[in-house]
Amino acid sequence: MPSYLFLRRTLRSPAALCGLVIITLLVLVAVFAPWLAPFDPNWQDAAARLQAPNAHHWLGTDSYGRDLLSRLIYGARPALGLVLLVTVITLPLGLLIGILSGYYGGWLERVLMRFTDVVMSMPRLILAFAFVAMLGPGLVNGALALALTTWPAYARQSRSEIQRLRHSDYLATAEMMGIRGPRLLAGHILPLCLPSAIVRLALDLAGIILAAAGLGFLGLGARPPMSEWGSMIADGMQVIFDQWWIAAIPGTAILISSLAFNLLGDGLRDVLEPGHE
Amino acid sequence: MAIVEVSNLGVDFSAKGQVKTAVRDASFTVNSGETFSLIGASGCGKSTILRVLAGLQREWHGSIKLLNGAIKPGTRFQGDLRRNVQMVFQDPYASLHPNHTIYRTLAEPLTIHGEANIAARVEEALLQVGLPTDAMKRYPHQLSGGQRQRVAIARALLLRPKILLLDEPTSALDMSVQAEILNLLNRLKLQFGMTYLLVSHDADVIAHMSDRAAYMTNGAIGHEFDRAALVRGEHRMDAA
Amino acid sequence: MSENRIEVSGLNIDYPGARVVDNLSFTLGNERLALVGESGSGKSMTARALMGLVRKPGKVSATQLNVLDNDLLTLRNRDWQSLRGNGIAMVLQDPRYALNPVKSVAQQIDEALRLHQKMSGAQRRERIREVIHAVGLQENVLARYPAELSGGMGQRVMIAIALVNNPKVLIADEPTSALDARLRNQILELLVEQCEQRQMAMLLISHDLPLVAQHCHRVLVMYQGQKVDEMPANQLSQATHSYTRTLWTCRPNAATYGMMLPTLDRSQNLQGESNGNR
Repeated sequence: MPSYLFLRRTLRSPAALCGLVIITLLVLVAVFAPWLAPFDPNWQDAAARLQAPNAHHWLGTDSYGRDLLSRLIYGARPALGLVLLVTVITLPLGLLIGILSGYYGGWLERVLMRFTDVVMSMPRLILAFAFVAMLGPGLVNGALALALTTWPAYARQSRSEIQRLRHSDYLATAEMMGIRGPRLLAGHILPLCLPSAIVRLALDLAGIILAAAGLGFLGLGARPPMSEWGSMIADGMQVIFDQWWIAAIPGTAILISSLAFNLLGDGLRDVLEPGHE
Repeated sequence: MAIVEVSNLGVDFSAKGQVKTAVRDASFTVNSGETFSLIGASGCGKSTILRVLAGLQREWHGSIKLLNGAIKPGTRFQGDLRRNVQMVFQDPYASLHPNHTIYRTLAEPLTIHGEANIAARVEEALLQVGLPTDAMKRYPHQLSGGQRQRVAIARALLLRPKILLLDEPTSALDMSVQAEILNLLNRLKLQFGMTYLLVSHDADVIAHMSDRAAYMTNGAIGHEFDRAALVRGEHRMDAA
Repeated sequence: MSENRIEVSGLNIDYPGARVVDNLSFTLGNERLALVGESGSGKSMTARALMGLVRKPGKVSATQLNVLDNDLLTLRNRDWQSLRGNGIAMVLQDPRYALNPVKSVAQQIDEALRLHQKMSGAQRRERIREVIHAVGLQENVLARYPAELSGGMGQRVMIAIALVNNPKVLIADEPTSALDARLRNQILELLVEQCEQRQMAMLLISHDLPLVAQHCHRVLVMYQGQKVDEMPANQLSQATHSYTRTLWTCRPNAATYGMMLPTLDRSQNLQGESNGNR
């Protein structure tokens, strides 16, 4: 269905709308962080260490005396930066490989699909370790590792969609009209594969946010003193029994972000169900 | 004068080591300006023959002459041949791309073939099939089945084909819409001097449209019927 | 206890943005009535309303909507369960989509029986055998799965499932549209035979006028949600209403070769010409 209709229908689903609202809020928080955060997230106040939530520090402070609310707010930036990076790499790469192998078949398909299989067999976290070992720790390297291990599923999905479509009347008429090559792939085939790829992406992002938090927790993600929710949880682990909020609050933020993408993905998927046509 | 000559056409599909013969040893001719029909139950191979003549099914054996030129298996139709042979498909819900406006669906073939005055040609095409010109801004899901089929016919005619292949063009439509589409097809055939090759399982449609017909079972062409035989309903006895 | 099995008066079915059935009234006694019309006429929606299958955002409203003396507008869920499949049953168009692909034929007929009757296993098996024979099938069909059945056989199985509880009313929604021409008459004849034998009323939804003229007592013609014509089925060929005439005469055949077929002038307002109310 045309994109405007797709969007309109998606917005009617309560799940998708909820997810979209949360994500929008997240984006706004990330963009306007400097104006929203009451304190500098990296400013350490030794006298104010490990404070419980109070009037001055709404969410309390961590073991270095840094304001948790500010760190939480600034933590939205790496989270969204990650989402953007993964999207920009995964979608185009996965779709391109899938469409080329599905449409042309033959040796091209065999080569591309074997390559896809190889990448698919790589475990994410191990690859992240390898990247970090090669290039040094950092948010971008961790995100890169995640992105480069996510695209194979998209390639497979779009390839099988195209194999189905190859016998459809849409493509038969395009051929009768003499439409071939890039024009066919970009103008006719891509729009048919895009919706399910987007649904998949929304649902994947939910998991990727969790994976990135895991990397951060293990110290493979953002380097200190960057506010990143995963590493904030790690910070809070040592004092978890007495000052539980230091770990719980960023944990909740991760939960809510992941949930938001999940809801959005669910809503998008409902729109694509046959009953909606 | 024969515009299509098919001799000993055979089409085999191989899947998982098994060979299925969809068309065996089919021979027939179609004369310029007539409507020739293939009638038979689903799965008898009539649509496959159509797809061979459309250039969509490129694996076949036998000999085929289209518009006074022989065509060879394995080759895509190009140039004039591609323009001269067009097809209208059965399912009006599946042959128009859901993401394209009607304008784009009609303008694209013209653009590719380097035609001029595209906007005017699109308008003309819509009027020819009895659609209002504002239909060009719409998407397929906003049109009814009959309207979509009209767009499909308009598109098939854009390149001024000499041969129009019709694969059950009205079986997905209501009776009264079918009447409109059949009238349209007959009108346009006279207007543009085309030759039709029609495939259907509906004996009444065949009797109304065809000058000659042939019955198919299991991939082989059986009886041929001339106009008199069609009037007598001979094609009907075997018809599914 | 009225003798009319179905009484509909002022039925409206509304969806956001459109009224798909508009002020429809008719009755069904112990007879075969056909609802005839094209896509969008509202005939299938009417059938669904009679079975309580119109879901949100569709809304059903009427002055009167009675099936076998049950007021459908106020019927509770529990009573719907005992009415559907029991007092009133429905046969759908395409057995490929209406039958459960992972259950055998026997299991599906058995399920319909168990839902509405208290019978022992042996009694159920006997009834299943009876109904399978009644629809012209052999017992070896019982162990098969829907995918192994041809179109005609699948349709007969659907009819068996509908008939097994001896309903008083059978609704058949385009029961032959997915079948080859040869099978259509056979299936309709089977339905007519079963109606006569079981003294069952039938509401036949179809777009095939000659078929309807042959097998039904009365015909109701619908267009864009409204009733535009109603008459005894054997008078269809002499209809005077312009829509009905067009539906009857627009069919192609050998005699219309070379001629333009009569078509509908859709710009005309057809409702005004309503022809005869009983």
